[in-house]
Amino acid sequence: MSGPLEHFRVIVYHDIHLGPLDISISNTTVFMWLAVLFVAVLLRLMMVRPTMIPGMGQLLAEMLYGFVARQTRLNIHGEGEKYIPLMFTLFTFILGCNLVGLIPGAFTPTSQLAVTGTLAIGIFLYATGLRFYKHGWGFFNAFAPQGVPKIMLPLMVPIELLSFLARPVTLALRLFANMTAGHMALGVLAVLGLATPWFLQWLPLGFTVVQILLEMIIAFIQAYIFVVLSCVYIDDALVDH
Amino acid sequence: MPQFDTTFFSSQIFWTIISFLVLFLLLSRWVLPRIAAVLNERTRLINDEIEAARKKREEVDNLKLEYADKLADIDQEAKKMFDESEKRISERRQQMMGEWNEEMERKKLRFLEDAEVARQQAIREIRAQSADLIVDAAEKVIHQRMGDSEAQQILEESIEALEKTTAKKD
Repeated sequence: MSGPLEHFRVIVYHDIHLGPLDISISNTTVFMWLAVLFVAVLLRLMMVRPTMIPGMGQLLAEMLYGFVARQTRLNIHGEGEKYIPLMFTLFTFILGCNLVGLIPGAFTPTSQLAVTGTLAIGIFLYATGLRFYKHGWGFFNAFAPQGVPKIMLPLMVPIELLSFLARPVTLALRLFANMTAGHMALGVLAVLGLATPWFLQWLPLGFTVVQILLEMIIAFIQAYIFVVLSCVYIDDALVDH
Repeated sequence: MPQFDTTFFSSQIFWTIISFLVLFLLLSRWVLPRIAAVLNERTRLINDEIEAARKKREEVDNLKLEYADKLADIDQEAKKMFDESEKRISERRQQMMGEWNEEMERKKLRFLEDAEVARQQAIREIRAQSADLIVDAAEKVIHQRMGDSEAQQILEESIEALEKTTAKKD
């Protein structure tokens, strides 16, 4: 029997190398594509014939859009409107990757550090570039908060720098850890269910159902947290320090 | 943990970027414009409805003001008409009272005139009767040949009788 970490193992289906760059098709890639396809097709179907009085599907799509748009406007002050497409894509991408892993036998792309790290570093680099673009060399003022006595600066600047650099790390680790932990718990419960005598199997398998429901909520919450923090970082880049 | 194995990092990073960009393009072309359009259209419709309702309310407010003005005018007109009517009635009453007083005055004068005529008539009649009495007294004096004192007494009795008669008529 395989261990609880076994289903996080990357399996390469097709080796592809672009010069020195390895771009092989693995289970991460396939399930990521599935998530992208699922999100794009489902949302497209929901909005296939939009009407003023929405049906169930359209209502769901509009609610999802409205939710992300509201969070974006709320957290990126003044300029939130133009970041809605990016944030909606980020939210649906993470949510799709989180949910696709809940299908029995499927693989969770967001349980891979490389995937969450890419998204987190992407947002971090975007926010940093934006801050340079907006403030030029004033970028570094953010590391010396206003009103701090000069004597404290040798202490404050490293702390601020560290907290700034820790952003992508925490962003990536939070999503990765939550997805990994949730799926590990699910795996353990499933193994327990199979290992227990038949008359007791309902207990761990029942818990598995509850855990799946919980994971669905966590999938949504983690996508929400990732997007809100991304908005906060972008807003921080736009604000004059 | 298998997630920390860096062997597949390059492919995972590459395909994450590609997949994200593909989803961004698909949503930007297929989904987001539709959702944004329908939401904007709905917002526009709702705003139009709100604007129309606001205009209707303004119209109603204006109508109410107009009606209030008209009612005030009507009230004023009614008050004016009432005052005029009251004034006319008062004038008419005064006029009638004047006419009645004049009529009464005329009747009173006529009555006084009639009374005077009756008095004169009575005096004339008394005088005539007095003359008759004097004549009768004179006849008595003559027939009875009485003295001066008796004649005087009889004359005084006659005059007294005449005075009583006059007083009774008055």
